[in-house]
Amino acid sequence: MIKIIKTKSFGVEVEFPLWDENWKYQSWIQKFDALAGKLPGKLYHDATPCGEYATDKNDNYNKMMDELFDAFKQIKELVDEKSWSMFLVGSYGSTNQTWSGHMHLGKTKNQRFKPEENMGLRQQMHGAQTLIELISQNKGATDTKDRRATKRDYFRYYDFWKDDPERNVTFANNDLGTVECRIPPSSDFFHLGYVLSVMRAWANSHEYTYGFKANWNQAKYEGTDGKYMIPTKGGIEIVNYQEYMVYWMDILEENILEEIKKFNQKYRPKIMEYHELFKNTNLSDIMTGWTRQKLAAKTDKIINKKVSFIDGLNLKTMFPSIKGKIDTERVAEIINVIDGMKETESFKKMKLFQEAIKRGRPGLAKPEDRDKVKFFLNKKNLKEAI
Amino acid sequence: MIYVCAPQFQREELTAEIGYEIAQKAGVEFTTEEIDEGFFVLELGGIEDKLLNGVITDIMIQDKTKSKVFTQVLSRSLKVARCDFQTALSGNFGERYVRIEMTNKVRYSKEYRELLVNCCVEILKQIKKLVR
Repeated sequence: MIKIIKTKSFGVEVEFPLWDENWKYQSWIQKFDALAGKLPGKLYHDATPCGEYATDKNDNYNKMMDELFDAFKQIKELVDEKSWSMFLVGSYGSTNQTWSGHMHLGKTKNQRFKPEENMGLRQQMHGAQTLIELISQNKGATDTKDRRATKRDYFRYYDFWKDDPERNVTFANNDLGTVECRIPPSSDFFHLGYVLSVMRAWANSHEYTYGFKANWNQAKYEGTDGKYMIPTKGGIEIVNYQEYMVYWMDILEENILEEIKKFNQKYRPKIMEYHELFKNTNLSDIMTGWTRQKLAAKTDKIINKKVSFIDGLNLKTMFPSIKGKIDTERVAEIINVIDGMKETESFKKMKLFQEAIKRGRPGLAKPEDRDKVKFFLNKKNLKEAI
Repeated sequence: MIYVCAPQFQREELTAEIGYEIAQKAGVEFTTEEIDEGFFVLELGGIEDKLLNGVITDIMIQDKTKSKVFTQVLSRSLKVARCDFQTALSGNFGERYVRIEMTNKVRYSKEYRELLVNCCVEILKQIKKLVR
C-alpha cells in the first residue's frame, strides 16, 4: 500500500527581470539590500539576470498572497524610483529566459521532509507534470510554442536526476527540505495561486502517481497541438490537448475547488477565473501578441490594483475538433428524415388545401379535403351556410 | 457549445418559444442573451409578413454556413429570401452563424411552425455529430 505523504505548507519563488530605460537587462537595485531585511521572505539577486523574492513558508494561502502583494508593492516602488521596469510575467513566451514562479510543497511550517518522504511526494506528483506544464506555458508573439518549455529539464543538474532519470524530471529535492516544482513561470499571483491549488489538489489525490514521459515531451514540444495519452478501461487512448485537460479537470475538479475555497473573498474570484479559463482554453491563447510595454503596465496593475492579467482580454474560445462536414450526403439524410415526419405530411396537406382554394381547383387538394374546398368555392352554398 | 438564441424575444413574438423548442429537441443550448462565444449559433427573429419582389416570403435567412444547409433544407418547403442582417451577433461567428427571421405566418401557423422546428432540429443534430 502506498504511504501518503501529506503536505501542509507551501511557498513560491518569484523571479523578476529588471530593465533600464534603454530596455537593457539590469540585475539589482542597491536599495533592495535595505528592503531585503524588512520583508518576511527572502529578496535576493538571482543567478539569472533578475531579482527573486521567495515567500516565507506558509500554511495559509491568504497570508501567502498578502505577503506577495505587499512585498512586490515595496519592490515596485524602488524600481519606479530608478525609472526602470520590472516584469512579473516570466511566461512571456517570446523570450527564452526562464523567469519562474517555482512552487514549494513542504511538510509543515516548521518541519522538513525526510529524504524518503521527499522522494515519496515527488513520486506522488510525478504524473502531474504534464498538466502543470500545460496550465503554465505561454507562446510568443511569433512562435507557436513556448520556447522556454523545452528548457524545463534544466533541473537534471539536481541530484534526483541521478536517482531516476526517467522520472520526477521537474519535481526537485532541495536544501529547504521541500519538494520544488520548477515548471510555473513568474506570472501573476492569481495564476500562481491557481497552479499551487492544482498541485495541492493532485497531491491530495495520491493515487494518480503514474505519468507518461511521452505526454511530458508532447507538452514541452507541442503544447496545445500535442497528442496525449490517457488511461481508459480499454487501455490507453490518444487524445488531443482539450480532451486531456477535460479528463484531468474532471478527475481533480472537486479537490481543486476544495483548495480554492481556502482562499478568501479577496483572492478567490480571480483564482476561480483561471479555473474556468483552463476548462475552456489555455494561457497560451490569451497571451499571444503581448508587448513589453503592455506587460509592464500589467505588472503595475497586478501589484498595485490586484487585478489579474487576464482582465480585459478577449479570451479566445477553444473549439472542439470537427470531424467531417455537412456534405450532400448529410443534407440528403436530413431531408429524408424530415420527409418521413407526420408534421411534414400535415404541412403539405395544408399547402395543397391553400393552393386549391387560391386556384379554384378542388382537385389539387387531398381527396379528404376536396369537399371542403368545393364548399368554400361554391358561393351559393357559402351564402346558404351563413 | 451550440446555441439557439432569440435576443429580441420581447418584441418579436414567439421567437423564444420556437427557439426553445428547437433547442430542446435538438439537445443544444437555448439563450435569450446576445452571446459572444459558442461553436455554432442559430439566431431567430420575427418580421411582419411581406412581399419581396412581388413574392410573399415565409422566412428571411442569413445562412453563413459553407454548405448553406439551412437554405437548402428550408427552401424545399418555404419561400426563402436570402439577406445579410447586421445584428450584434452576425459578425462574431463567421461560417458558424445562421439567422432566420420568421414572418407572422410562420410564427403563428401550427403547420409552418412545426415544419420549421423539425428542419432546424434535424440540421442541428447533424451539426452536433460533427463535433467530437
